[in-house]
Amino acid sequence: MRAELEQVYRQHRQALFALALTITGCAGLAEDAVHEAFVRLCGMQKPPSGRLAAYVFAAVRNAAVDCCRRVKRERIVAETLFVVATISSPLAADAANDELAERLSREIDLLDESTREIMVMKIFGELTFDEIGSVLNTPAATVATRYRRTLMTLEERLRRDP
Amino acid sequence: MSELEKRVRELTLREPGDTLDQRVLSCFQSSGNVAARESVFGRHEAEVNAPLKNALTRIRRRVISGTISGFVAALLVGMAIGNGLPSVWSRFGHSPAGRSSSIPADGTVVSTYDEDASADSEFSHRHRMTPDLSQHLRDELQKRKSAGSQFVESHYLSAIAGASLWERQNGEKFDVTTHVSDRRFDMCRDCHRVGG
Repeated sequence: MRAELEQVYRQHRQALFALALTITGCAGLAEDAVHEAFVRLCGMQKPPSGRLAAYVFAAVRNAAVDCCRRVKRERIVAETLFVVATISSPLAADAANDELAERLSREIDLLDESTREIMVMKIFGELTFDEIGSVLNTPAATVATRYRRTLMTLEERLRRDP
Repeated sequence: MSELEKRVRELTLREPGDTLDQRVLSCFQSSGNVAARESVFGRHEAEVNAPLKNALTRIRRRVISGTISGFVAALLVGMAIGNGLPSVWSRFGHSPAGRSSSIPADGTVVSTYDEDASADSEFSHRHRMTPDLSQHLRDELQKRKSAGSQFVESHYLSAIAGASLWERQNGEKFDVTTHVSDRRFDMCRDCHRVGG
């Protein structure tokens, strides 16, 4: 169990941190939330049913919500989810692509909280819609619809002139 | 995966601080002792909170015992007042015992109800018995004149009043001891049994 948890952490640490950051809006609180979630998970006696990664995402999300409640902080994204200046894409050499990536990250930051959660869990956490639905207590079909609608919205916004 | 999804995936997420890795990884290394530490902590917490729990238990017990003793004391005081009130009341001349009937020497039994007392009695006027009662009845009345409540006595007298007529009609002596002293039946036990 401990080894599996460590593997999940090493594989998804950025996505888990991004999910917590989406909810808390503060890097320090997000780190606290991730740490708190793993402390709780390490105290578990039995492994959870289903995929462990999805369970860890749910635990981190719950811990982030608890952290927000504890400090009574409004859930506003004060800090961006992405490293804006550094783009590890092969297209990064292209200035237009750099600009596009910056715009894209800005647009994602401007999305509402639940949509950003879906984006992070789907794209960076590689969770299925069913798993995301179970984390958010939302039907998988609803999650899928919102995800596709968000992609369409982002495409439309990127197509416009800056 | 669409082109946009690929672009989003190519974005670099922010790195958490190094301290997070240290904290989480140390959590994995010591996770075998987490349960033990929690249990020790829980025991320590229980020990720390023990005096508080004991104090709360003591306070609760005191409150409960105080409530019960107060209730018992109030009950005893009420009983004492209830028993003492008639004697206090009699000093002012309004005792219910003063309303008892009396039998003069001429054999006339007169109920000495006050006028206001007749209101709560089942007899609305002075109840006078005829003087031709047998000696047996007079003796019975003499025995019972002082004790008992006024209501029961008046009820008894009403039965006796009917008894005199009954004695005259039947030429027998009315036996008080066998009389059914009931609100509904003013009759002797034999008649009561027969259904007369």
